[in-house]
Amino acid sequence: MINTAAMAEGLEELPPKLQAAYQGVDEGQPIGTSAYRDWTPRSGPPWTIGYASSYAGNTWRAEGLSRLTEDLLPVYRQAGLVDEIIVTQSDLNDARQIQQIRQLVDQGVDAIIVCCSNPVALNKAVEYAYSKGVVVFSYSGYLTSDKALNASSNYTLGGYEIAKAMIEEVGGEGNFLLVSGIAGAASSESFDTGAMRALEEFPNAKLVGQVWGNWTDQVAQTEVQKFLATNPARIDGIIAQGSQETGVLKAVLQSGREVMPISLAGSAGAACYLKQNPDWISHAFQIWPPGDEMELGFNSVIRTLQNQGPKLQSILRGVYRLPAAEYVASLGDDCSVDSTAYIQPGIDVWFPDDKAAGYFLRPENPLDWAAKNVN
Amino acid sequence: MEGLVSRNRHLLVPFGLVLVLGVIAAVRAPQTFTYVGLAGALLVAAPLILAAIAITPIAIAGRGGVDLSIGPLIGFVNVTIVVWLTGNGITHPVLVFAYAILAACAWQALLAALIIHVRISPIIASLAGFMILSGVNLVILSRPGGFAPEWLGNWGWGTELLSPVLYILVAACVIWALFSRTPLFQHIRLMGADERTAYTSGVDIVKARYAAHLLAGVFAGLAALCLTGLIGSGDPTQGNTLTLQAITALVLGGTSLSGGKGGITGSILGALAMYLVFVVLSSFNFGAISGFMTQLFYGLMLVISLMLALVTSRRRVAAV
Repeated sequence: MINTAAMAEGLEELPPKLQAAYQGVDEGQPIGTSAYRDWTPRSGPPWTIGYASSYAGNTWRAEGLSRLTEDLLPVYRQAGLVDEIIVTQSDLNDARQIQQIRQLVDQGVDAIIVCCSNPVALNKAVEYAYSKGVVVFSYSGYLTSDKALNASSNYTLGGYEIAKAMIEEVGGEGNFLLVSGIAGAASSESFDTGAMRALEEFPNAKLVGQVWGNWTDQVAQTEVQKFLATNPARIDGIIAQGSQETGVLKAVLQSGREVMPISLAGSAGAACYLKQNPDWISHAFQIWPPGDEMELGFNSVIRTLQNQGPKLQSILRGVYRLPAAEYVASLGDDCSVDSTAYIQPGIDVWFPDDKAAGYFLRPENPLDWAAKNVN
Repeated sequence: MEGLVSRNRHLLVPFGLVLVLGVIAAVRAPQTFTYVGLAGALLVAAPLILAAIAITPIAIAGRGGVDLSIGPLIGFVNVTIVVWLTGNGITHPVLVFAYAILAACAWQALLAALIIHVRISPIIASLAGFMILSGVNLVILSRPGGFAPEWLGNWGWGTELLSPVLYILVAACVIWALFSRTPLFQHIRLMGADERTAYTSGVDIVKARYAAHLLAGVFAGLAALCLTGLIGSGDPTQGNTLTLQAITALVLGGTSLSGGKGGITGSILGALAMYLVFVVLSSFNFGAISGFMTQLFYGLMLVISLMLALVTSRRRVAAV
């Protein structure tokens, strides 16, 4: 299962527990040593951070942005680390995102966070930024430029683990529907690659269909409704990418079929159904909790600006599986299946200091660093 | 002089728009008008400019000819350069250029054949083309990736003004200037203005329509090369975003969708106006809604431009 590309130079520097997160990583994702091991920004703190998002039209993106601007900015501004976060959005247009990155660099930002783009298209803009002393960090998804840094979960491993757990949940055989994200989007394809690997390991598990929910509940609901209406075959389990399982659940409920197990990965609506029906499915996963993943990226950016020296080009977090009871523990009895919120593990679980320390050469809590180094 | 102004009156609104937006951009984002800023602007705007140029002859040819397939066509050439050519070690510039132009021309010839011989409405033929190519592109390349030939990927640096992208834009203008002086182009205009009259006047309308589409194919091939240079890779969905932008630029530039009127100067001005709106809006911190603000302003700009064009033409008629 270990991808040979993942055994790249520098990986042995990570603690063995963290190395496990690189198993089966997407073959295109660069893992080698970081170009920022001894890099310092042009000036600051305080630093100006740019966030060049590729899209903002779903609740996952909104939740990530909310964590950045409403939770993180006030704290880091108070600590004297960040003075402003400039947000742009390209509406899934690479040319616009390239222009926005170049414009942010010219406006004088110190670091740029990008989200979920073509892994290659932004490379020249990244190198333009690097030449001007600006670090570009991709959170969620990855960039292939050796001047870019990446911080996210291992989506291929996530797809593999989620699909495997679903097949095992229903006895290792049966008919399965795969609900993917956006056709052609790198993260979506990474997940599907992992899910297909798991399906290949179970000869009696049959993939009877694939639909694309665009990581949006309403789209997923419509697509699954159409599939169920036109495919009378029994479906034993639905392997779904996160951020859309509430829509998938609603489609199944509307179809009148018995609710089969559906992969759970953070959507509070479907989690509420689990709380109300504890025998439904035994486990859940967290592979891209929107706020926590944004904080993983932001935390990594600040550490890099603080000259903590990221060891590798890609900071990959492993798959987080948890039992059903623990997954729904934070939900109240009055929760709603219609909720569009997310259940998130929280940064202390997702990217705690002791875990982060393994990815950096000179690790220190960013706010502790501020207390010592910012007047 | 008066004749020149009169002939180009439809360009007044787009020209004014570019001027106003250029001044605002100079104030809000002065780095745009530095050497490197202009080089970057040229690089980023080139695919849209060439896409807008490509659909111009088809619009001039009439029958409500809006080529909706232009975006996926550019995407098709992009992904096939990366997968079929680069993937098989075919990277020589002459071969890549020839392939890009011939592939786009072949598609346009197919569209023209459907419109001429099967008598499918242009908009329906190109809508079907949009859907077919959108799917084909994802089959050829299921996710963004791969690499452009090295020489083409190096266009993406965007730090030199005198770059291949500039030469391609100049070449496109020269091709248009030469073609627009031929009798064949006059036949396309006549056909676009009134196809029946053109036919009864002896215009070979089959030849004229094929010519309009093949010319569009040449420009679409060049647009695909610039897009591939910009993103340095293949992307099965990026081309699609160009369709509506190119049509917006075309209309902003004063080309009539009813045929017979227009030219690439307007399309270029329309595309430049769209680029400048984007630069100006990016200089504000609109946050998550910045992408939607761009769409909103494109729409507003389109409506206001059409209204201004209407007002100026009514004044002209009143003066007569």
